[in-house]
Amino acid sequence: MRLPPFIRDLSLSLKLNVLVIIVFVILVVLLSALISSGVRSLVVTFGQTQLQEDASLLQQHFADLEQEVSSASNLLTYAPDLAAAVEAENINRIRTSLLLQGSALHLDAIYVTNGDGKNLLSITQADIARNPASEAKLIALGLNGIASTALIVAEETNSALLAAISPLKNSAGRAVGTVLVARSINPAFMLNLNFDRSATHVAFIHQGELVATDTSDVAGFANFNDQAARVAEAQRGTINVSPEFVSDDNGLVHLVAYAPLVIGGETQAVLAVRSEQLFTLQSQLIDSVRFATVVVAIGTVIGLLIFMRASIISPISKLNGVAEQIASGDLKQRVSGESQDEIGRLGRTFNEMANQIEQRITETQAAREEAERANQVKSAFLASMSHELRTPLNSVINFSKFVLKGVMGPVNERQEEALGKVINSAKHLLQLINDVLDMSKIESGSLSLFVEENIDLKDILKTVAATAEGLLGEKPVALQLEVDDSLPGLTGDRKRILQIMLNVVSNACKFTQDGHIKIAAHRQDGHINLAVEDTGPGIAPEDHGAVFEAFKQTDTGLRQGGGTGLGMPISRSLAEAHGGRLWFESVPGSGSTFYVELPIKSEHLTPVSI
Amino acid sequence: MKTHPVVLYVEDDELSCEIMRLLLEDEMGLAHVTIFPNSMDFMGRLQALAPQPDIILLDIHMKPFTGFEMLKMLRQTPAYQTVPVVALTASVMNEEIQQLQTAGFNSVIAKPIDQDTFPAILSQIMQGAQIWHIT
Repeated sequence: MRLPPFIRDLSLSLKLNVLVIIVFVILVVLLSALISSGVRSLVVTFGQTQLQEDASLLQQHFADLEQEVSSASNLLTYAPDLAAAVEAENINRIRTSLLLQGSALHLDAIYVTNGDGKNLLSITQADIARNPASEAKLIALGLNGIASTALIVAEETNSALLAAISPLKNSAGRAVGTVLVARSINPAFMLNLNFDRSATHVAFIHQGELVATDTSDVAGFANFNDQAARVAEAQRGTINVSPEFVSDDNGLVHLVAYAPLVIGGETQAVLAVRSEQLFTLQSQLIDSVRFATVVVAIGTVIGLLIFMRASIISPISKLNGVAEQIASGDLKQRVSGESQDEIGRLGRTFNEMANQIEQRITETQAAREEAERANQVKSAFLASMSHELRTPLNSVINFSKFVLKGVMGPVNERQEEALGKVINSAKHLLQLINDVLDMSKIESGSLSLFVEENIDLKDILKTVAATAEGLLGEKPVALQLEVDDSLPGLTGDRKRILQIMLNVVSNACKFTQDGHIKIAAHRQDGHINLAVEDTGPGIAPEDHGAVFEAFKQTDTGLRQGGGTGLGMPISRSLAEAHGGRLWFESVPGSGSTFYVELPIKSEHLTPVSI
Repeated sequence: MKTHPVVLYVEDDELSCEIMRLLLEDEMGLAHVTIFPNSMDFMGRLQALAPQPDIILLDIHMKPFTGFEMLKMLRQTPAYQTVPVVALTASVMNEEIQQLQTAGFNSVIAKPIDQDTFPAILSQIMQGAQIWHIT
């Protein structure tokens, strides 16, 4: 897979860091969502259980209060002189009796009737709910000797009372009247009911209408969207809790439980119980969980980044640094690190590679130094050999010549001949020395040319022709010279060019017994083409390779005698040193043509100042 | 130009000395040829010469002074700054010739000496030519 360049070229460290951070952001979001939903369902489940218990407890409290009212009613029937006062229908005595007994009972209303159900005395708060029908029904029960409780609701004011009736009996046990007591179901009552549940609020609902709450926040109990269904469910006798959080009119979110209230053996109303804290708890829990997740994730990311830096990025950077140092020539640098992982192995492999490179370079350097030293020794040896050979040759050649000239006295013909042979041999030896030196310079690449400009090639060829005439002597060979009149001046080493041409032409003279030798020079583009054509024996194809090989002579050459076997290889190297070339064509039996091509001007050649 | 120049040759090889004497005196018929067989007290002996040389031929490998050292002495003495000084040597590798040229010799003549061309070469050098090709 190919990455786009703007990603591919980022640093490894940046790429890994970004990758880790992206992965962790995704993980944190997923984890946080997962945990949040878990927390939500946990809180709902927990809240439902909690509210169920709360509702159950509040039901009990309500039953206790109902019992309290019932007891209060019963207690009043035992007020001293009450029964007699009712029988006597003496209002003042009734009031005195009730005040003695009832002052500590926290009742909102006390009604006393005579045996006919007629009201004798009412002691009530001002805004008490009245429902004559309900009251009459209760009084009727009381007159029949039955103590009972009931809910009295005043529809117009939407207010309610928790009422209890007790029959008032005289000393003979006959019902002479009733005592009806009631507590108003108002905020105070609700607070009393919910005395210990600071985190929950409670509302009294009668036939779907809110009658009273323990909080001024009435809106907080209004219009939960599933309230009607829940209330109806509770009316059927079971506590039920909303399965989800619901919003009230204030936009606040609650979990609400609905509990039936049984008064006088009948389900009369419903208690709504809501928790103020559950949603806050849920939010706080989710926030805490998110915070913890983020902290753990950041910690893990930092840990992972540090780990990656220590185990991947830092070793790779170090490796890179060492590789750069080695590349810039500091071969001693090595990677440190002991780890057994892939990077550790890479480092060790790298070190082994560096060891081998260092060893090879050291060996190569040593070999090169050795070769240079050997070359210097060789050059010094050759220079010394040349000097040591030339000095005695100086004597051999010159004394022979003096003798030959008769400086030392008369010389006869045979002596002359012998001296000529001495001189020729000595000159051959000198040529051999020169050729060997040339060859060694060529082989060591130290051949240098004395470059001049405007060399007159015609001059050189005349010298060559003169030498050739001498070499041919009496042989029936016609020497022809064919030179363009318009040959330009050449740039090169005059002596070396002469050496090349002498070599080629003297070879032709040596091998050609009859016929002709033609020396031609023509201009051809930027070159001068020199051709030496002979009618000698030619060169057999199998001998072609030997012509330019040092110290090799063809069979014909060996039969002819003389020569060093170095002339041709040297001449070719000299031509090449001028930026030219030397080659030949030959037909065995009919002759050979040697070609020398030299550039008129060559960028290889710069004239030396003399 | 003098047709019979005064020549000084400094050379420690006896045979070379003998050849040069034969060449210069017998062949070329020069009257004033002086040969120093070593370089000891070179300047002292040179300054004592009469007549003073028109051209000086120096061997290179000599004791106690080499050809290069003698050339340096000559060039540092005003009287000999313009006298042609020729290296006459069997050390004729390219680098060696380059060294001679750099040191300030006027020409080089290689051993073995070619007695056929020697008089002409000497005459060219006397006329101011610089010859660096060897035969």
